[in-house]
Amino acid sequence: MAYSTSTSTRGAQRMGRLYREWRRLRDQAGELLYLVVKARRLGHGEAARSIYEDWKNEKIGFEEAKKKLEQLLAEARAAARA
Amino acid sequence: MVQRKQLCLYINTSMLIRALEDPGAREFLGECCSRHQCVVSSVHWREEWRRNTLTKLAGLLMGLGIATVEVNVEVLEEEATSLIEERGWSPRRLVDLMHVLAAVELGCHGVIAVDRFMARRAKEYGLLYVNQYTGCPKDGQALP
Repeated sequence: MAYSTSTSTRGAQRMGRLYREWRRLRDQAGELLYLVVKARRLGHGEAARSIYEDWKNEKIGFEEAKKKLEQLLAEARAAARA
Repeated sequence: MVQRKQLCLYINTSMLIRALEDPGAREFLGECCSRHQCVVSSVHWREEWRRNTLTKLAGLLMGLGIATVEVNVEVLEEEATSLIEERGWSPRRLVDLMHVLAAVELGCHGVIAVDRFMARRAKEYGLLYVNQYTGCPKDGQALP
């Protein structure tokens, strides 16, 4: 088979259940990790990581984890301003 | 005689998941990883995995003889976040960016993935973009 650097849309046509589930989880992981890094920059990395791990270990759902991280970030920003 | 592996190729999760569901993708991965040195990194384990998927994935990696290479995940998270901020990309692509940065850090020649975002980033970082549609790079093939 010839090699090329072009991409393809054929992949999207073959999405299975696992693939769709993984894409959803990948997107959620990205959103949460982004908030974890923001919190870490403000010195709250450990608490943020703990929330992420709770989501990763299915102890809490995505919406709850996101809400907790956003709250942590807001408190960290307020503390940094004070 | 042990044949020297030609290129180092980083397997993105998009391809691993495909290989679990698509026999064609699995066959491609097996063939390509027998010719080249395929790797996954600790970034893969930062992702959220359902228990059943994780079990299947571990079996796939074991079958292909692929071990996890350690990278500093926190540094990659920071670098990927900075890129997202600079370029205005969605935070949803943070994990994929981490995979690309890991591939660069590990000195890989290319990424095996089925994803347009990954294809664009691979081109940007001078990495080969490889999957069952592009085909496995042959011996002596020119790098981008």
